[in-house]
Amino acid sequence: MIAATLNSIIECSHLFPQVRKDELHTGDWIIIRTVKSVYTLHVIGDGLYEASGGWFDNKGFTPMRIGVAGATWGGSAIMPHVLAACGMRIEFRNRLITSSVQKIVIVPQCKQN
Amino acid sequence: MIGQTISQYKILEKLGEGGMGVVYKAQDTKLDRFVALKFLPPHLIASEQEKTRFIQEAKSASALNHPNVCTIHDIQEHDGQMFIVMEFVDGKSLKEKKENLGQKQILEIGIQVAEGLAAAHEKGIVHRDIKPDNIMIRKDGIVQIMDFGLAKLYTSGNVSRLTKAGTTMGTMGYMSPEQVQGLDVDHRTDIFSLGVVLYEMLAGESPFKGIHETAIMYEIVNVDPAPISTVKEGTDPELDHIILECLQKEKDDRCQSAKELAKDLRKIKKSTGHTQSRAYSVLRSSVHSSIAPAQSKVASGSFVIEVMNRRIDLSKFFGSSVLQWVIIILLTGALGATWLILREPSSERIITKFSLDIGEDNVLDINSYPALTISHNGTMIVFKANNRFYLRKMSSVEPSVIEGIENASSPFFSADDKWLVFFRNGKLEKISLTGGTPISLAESPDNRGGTFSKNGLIIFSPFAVSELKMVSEDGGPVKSLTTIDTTKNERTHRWPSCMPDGKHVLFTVGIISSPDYYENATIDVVNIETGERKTVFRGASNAKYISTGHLLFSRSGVLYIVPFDADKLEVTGQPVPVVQGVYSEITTGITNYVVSDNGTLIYLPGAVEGESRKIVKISIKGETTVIDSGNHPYVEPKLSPDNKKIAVVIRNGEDFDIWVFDIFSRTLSKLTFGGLNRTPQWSPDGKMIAYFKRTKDGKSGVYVKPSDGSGEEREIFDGKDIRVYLNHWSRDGKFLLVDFLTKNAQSDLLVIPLTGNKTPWKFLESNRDEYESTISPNGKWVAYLTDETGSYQIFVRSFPNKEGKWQVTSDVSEEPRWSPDGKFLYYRKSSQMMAIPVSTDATFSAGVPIVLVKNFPSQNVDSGISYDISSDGKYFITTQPAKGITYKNISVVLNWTEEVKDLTAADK
Repeated sequence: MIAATLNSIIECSHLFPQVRKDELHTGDWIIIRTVKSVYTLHVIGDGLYEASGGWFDNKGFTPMRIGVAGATWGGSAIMPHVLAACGMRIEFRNRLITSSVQKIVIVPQCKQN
Repeated sequence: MIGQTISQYKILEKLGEGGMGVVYKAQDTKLDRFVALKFLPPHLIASEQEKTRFIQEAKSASALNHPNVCTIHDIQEHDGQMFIVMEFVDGKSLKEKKENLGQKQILEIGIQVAEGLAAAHEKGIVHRDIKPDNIMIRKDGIVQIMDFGLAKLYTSGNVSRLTKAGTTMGTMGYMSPEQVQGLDVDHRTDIFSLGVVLYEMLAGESPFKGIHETAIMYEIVNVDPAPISTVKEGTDPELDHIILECLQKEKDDRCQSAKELAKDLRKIKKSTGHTQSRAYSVLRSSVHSSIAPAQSKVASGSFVIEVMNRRIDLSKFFGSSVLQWVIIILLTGALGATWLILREPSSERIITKFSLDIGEDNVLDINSYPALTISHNGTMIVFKANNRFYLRKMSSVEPSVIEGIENASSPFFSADDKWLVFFRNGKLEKISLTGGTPISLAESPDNRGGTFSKNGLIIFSPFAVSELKMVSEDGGPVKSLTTIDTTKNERTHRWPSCMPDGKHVLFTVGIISSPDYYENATIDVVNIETGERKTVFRGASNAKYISTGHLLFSRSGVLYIVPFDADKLEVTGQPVPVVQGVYSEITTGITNYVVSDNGTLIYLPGAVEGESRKIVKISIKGETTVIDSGNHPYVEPKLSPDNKKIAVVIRNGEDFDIWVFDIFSRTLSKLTFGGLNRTPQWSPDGKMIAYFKRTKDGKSGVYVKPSDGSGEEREIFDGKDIRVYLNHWSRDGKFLLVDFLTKNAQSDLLVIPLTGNKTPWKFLESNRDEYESTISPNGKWVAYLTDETGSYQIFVRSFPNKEGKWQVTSDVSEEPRWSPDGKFLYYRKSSQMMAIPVSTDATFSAGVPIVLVKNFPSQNVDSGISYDISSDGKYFITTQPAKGITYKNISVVLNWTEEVKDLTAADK
């Protein structure tokens, strides 16, 4: 149900070909559709994210506080400054490597006055 | 497949096959070039969606286009089979080639890989698996980085995956500390890995040599690799420095970019061979500038000279008759100048570096004393090998033995280079280099170096905890030049070196609180005439003044120069490292280097003793087996009574802790935590270990602790701030024998009873040193070391009543231990392990000593027993430099001070 909702958000949102870590702010949400799953990452600062969806849901770890090593092609090469990029995979700090990213949506934090 | 044409690619041959598919060499018939086609197994790309994604990924990866990165040209489909068109790399991987590469080639490879990495890093891509297998060297010399990302793409299908717990991306041995620890990585991880590759190529061995993955991981995170020059002689010190910088544990301490690394390597490559060729180019250009103008005139009828690359025709300024005279004068002058240039040595002093072989069967003796020296005029080198001094004249090819002075140590030349001064059998002596017998000058039970002043005085340090003494070159009364100031924590004044003014002497001051650590020693200078003294530098040892106006000193096997005002006796600038990988001992402060007055540097290339050592087993026949090559700064190994464990001291900066090494499981367990913990001794049942401890606040004593670490340590003797070294735990378990430092800085022997009335009592006390005591297996005799004869000899007394006294040795000896059956006394004599048959039943008697092991590893601490014997008496254990180096070469740099001038000029 949640995945379906996220998918619908993805479908009607502006899509990013890639998102760099330094473009994000604490509180931002990133929704990422991979070939296999949908992941959401909530930026909590200090290089950490609350990750849910995909493998995290399957293992019952949602939400998990975790760092992202970068975007990879699945091999050793990595783009450490990139959080996610279409056509590439996300490598988490626990060495979880997702399937290829297809779509990325950024939901900025709600600004309070 | 071979012979077929797919698209425009004609398949020529199969290059390889694996889980990732088959790779063929093919000819691109359109662009007429060779390519590699990688056909991916169909089952990996089943659907249209996967094909699209595969193409997308390949395009991302192929964005990296650089000559030093293997390029992906295209991706195509043929009969439902996807294949990648890649650049064909005609060559070999570095893994296949690395054995046969010279320094220049290695530099070239390093530069190209660094450039390829720089391009990747610029695009935000980090390789994370730089290793020799992933570096290809093409036949045309181009080096290419392979495997940028795609290689492992499909091994796990298209699902999310978590790799095996505890694993990290990369190849063990080449990973950076942050990679090993699973931390965030950035481009500097590749710099570390490239550092490992370069180190491996240069040194011929990996910087991290653990025997299993965990050990390698530990080393990567915790152990600093030894300088390459300690493994491979002749390594450019600057290159060594750059590579070690790449291998820094902290990312921030490393070379910060691949671009910068490439630039640094290029600079070294450019300068390689520069010094050797400089003289020839100077000569050639001088000759050219003298002759060429005249030749030009004769040939052309005009007179053209080149000034600053501009051609000037003189015939336009002078008439032809005038010109003829000018030509004759210039021609004569030019020929004269040419003759002068060819006849006279160039005024430029040529820097020449070479390694001096000390002779086929010779191994340098480096037992805590200087092993080499050079005459002031730079024409003679003296070194100690196989317990003898050898003289190598620069004008000779072979070294010759200086006869009649066996067992001598710490040589230095007289001011006029006619005499060699040295220490032997408890005396300071000299011998004429034109022949004759040695002349005794002064008593010197041991020594910590000497120096000869211009005005005929010899300044020397006669033993480990002495002040400096001086005596005339002709002998006579010995005077104290300095006084040890115990209120300032001073323990020793050693390694004196006269300054050129003949009035001042530089020396090293070691301190009581860290008796075996000289990285925090100070360099003082004393005026010979007035005795006035001042500290000139802190955190160094073994300083010498050199003619360029610098102090040269050592720290951690690196020689540094620091600008020094010889009038004010003050350091005036910051130290700069100039030579790396010089054999030195942190525990004694010795560094084996000397500079002659004419600027020749000689040094012993090697490791920093007190740093990396391995524990070895040496059979009584002399066969060596490595027990642990963990490369820790091991000191004082002691075997448990069942020979299954070794209590060993590991130095960590100023701290010394005791660890227990399990020989079977090869694990190390820490027994003590912080402070100075030394001289472990096992209880006869192996359950306890006793040791000396000095806490950070200066409290000292003898402690015992269960050897398995279970339980607290317990004080059994309050040392009251003095140094107490444990010598032996008697076989019956009743006594501990210790030596302790008296207030006049000499050692006496004390017995600590462990049963009955436990009041300690003095076994031997005198105004001489008594230490390194050991109780015979039957408990009746104590062998110990003393300088009561003027030199250190082994004596035996009955125990406990001290009846009778037997001198066992007549040459300088140390570290006596009984064989387990009580039939032999073993001891060190220079680099030899000696055995002397003894009778210990009703009375004591000793036979004739024999050499048991010829090249027994040198000890690496100032005091303490550095070896042990197995309970079956079949082998010794001791430590030796981790690299297993036998010191057979001396590095010589002629006109080294010119290099210093160049270096300091570049700084200005």
